[in-house]
Amino acid sequence: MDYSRRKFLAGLGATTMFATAGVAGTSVIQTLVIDGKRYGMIHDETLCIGCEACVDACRETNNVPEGVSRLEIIRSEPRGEFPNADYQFFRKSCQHCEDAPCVNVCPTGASFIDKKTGIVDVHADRCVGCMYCIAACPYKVRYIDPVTKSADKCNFCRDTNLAKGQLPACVQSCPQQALVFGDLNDPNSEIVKTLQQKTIYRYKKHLGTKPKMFRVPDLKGEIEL
Amino acid sequence: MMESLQQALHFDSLVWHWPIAIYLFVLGISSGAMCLALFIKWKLPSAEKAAKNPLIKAAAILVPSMVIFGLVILVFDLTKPLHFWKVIVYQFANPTSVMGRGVTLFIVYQITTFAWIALVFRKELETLLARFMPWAMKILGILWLWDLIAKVERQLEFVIAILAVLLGVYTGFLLSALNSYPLLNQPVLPLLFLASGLSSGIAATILLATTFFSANAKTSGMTLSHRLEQPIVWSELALLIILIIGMNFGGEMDKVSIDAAISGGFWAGVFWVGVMGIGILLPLMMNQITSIKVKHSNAFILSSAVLTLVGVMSLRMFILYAGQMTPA
Ligand code: SF4
Ligand code: SF4
Ligand code: SF4
Repeated sequence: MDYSRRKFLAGLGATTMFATAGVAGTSVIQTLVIDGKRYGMIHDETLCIGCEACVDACRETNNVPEGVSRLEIIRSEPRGEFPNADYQFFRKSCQHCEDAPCVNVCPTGASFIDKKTGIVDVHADRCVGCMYCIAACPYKVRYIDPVTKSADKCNFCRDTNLAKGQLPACVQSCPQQALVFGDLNDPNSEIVKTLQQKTIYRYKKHLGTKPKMFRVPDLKGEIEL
Repeated sequence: MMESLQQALHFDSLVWHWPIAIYLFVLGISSGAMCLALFIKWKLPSAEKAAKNPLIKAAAILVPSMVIFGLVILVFDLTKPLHFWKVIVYQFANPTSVMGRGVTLFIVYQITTFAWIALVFRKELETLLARFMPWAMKILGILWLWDLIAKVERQLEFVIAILAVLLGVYTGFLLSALNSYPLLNQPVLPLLFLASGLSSGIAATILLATTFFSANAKTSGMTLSHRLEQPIVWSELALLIILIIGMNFGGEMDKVSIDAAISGGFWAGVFWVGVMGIGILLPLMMNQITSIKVKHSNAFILSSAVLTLVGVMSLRMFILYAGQMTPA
């Protein structure tokens, strides 16, 4: 039942429950901290070289079938002239939204936010494959697993590497250390320190999803009007 | 042409396909037919007449069968159809899921509308039961149940009216809950779908009543149906205009999305020809320029009903597909 309580906190119930607890007006971010860790990730686009080692590592560690992928590295059009051309890279994967549209729409509670870690995950058993979550995700990172027929996506290796106390496979495999993973609630964690030092942005933040995927932009001052 | 049709029906950001449009379409018919049946019954002098009225008969068939049909489509559209029961068992796991609340609504709506139908056609059903299952009347205490429902008839009808309206707006909320697609994430969508659902419900009821229960222009309730149709079509037109203008006043993606939808390509064609032309303007015009005599002919009644249905189905397809063309 833990995910339904989670939903309750994140959803309408929050007003009533927290009003009685005397902390009305606290943001959802704070309510989600109650149970402990809150994992997030940084993709440093200035360090990424587009080698896609992360993509392969993820597939292997999480047994992701061919034809679908939990993450993609999207390469931009070349910037500049050969031989000095370079590219920008964008990581397309679950943002682990704090106000997650996929969780909000799911009719069965199969999509949930794990309250111990803040990780957005799917109970494959509970999922009926209505695809509402896939439509609702503004980042278009969800898919139907061709084997289980359930919705699936990146879960920060919650049941694989993380369960073994290791860093997510993509983070481990990156030769550039372009990926930083850690607990946003821990002020001494590498991720919090990096966030304090670097300029970051979050994708489609205006939709109110509160994504926990942070990005260091590799933009060289070009403004298109 | 083939290639552009391919592109119009298959693109990357498309998640929900045409079965969902049919699902939304038939639920709208059920909602509209129920509202119409209640209106007519309230206007009729006695309950006795309600059971004989072709429009009410047609609605009594459409209301439950369309919901069941819609649910069958939904179940087979799941990637795991055999697990559909989880949607019912776990429907309250996520109290704010529009689809979850839809499931709750279907259940309550189906039970209450069946009770209402049983009440309206009590005599007929009793005769049937007495003939084929005389034992059922005694064992199941059905007569007692009937009396109970009869006592709360007014209240039941009031509740059903609300549920039917909720079913109509539900079809819109299901899509407007998606802030991942600007054209779907519009507050007028539930109203637009309610209005078009009413249109299609009235049209389908008239169609069935005329073809199967020999209704014609003189059937009581027919004039009322036509009188209801007019303002509903006008409000659909108004809501569509509000949607288009409103999105042009909106943010960047609102503008991009409405522009992509209506100003070129296959779905713009569906919108201007199917939704606007066939579904709204043609019926409005036909109503303006034809004489009373023509209007009272069955051919006219049937053809305007068909036009309306084509228009409403086009609207469902248009919103679903054009909506998913542009992600936020
Ligand atoms: S990115 Fe998509 S799948 Fe991931 S939590 Fe957000 S809405 Fe859900
Ligand atoms: S596809 Fe599965 S996880 Fe997604 S909304 Fe439907 S039931 Fe929930
Ligand atoms: S965190 Fe794990 S599941 Fe997510 S992309 Fe990296 S390797 Fe895949």
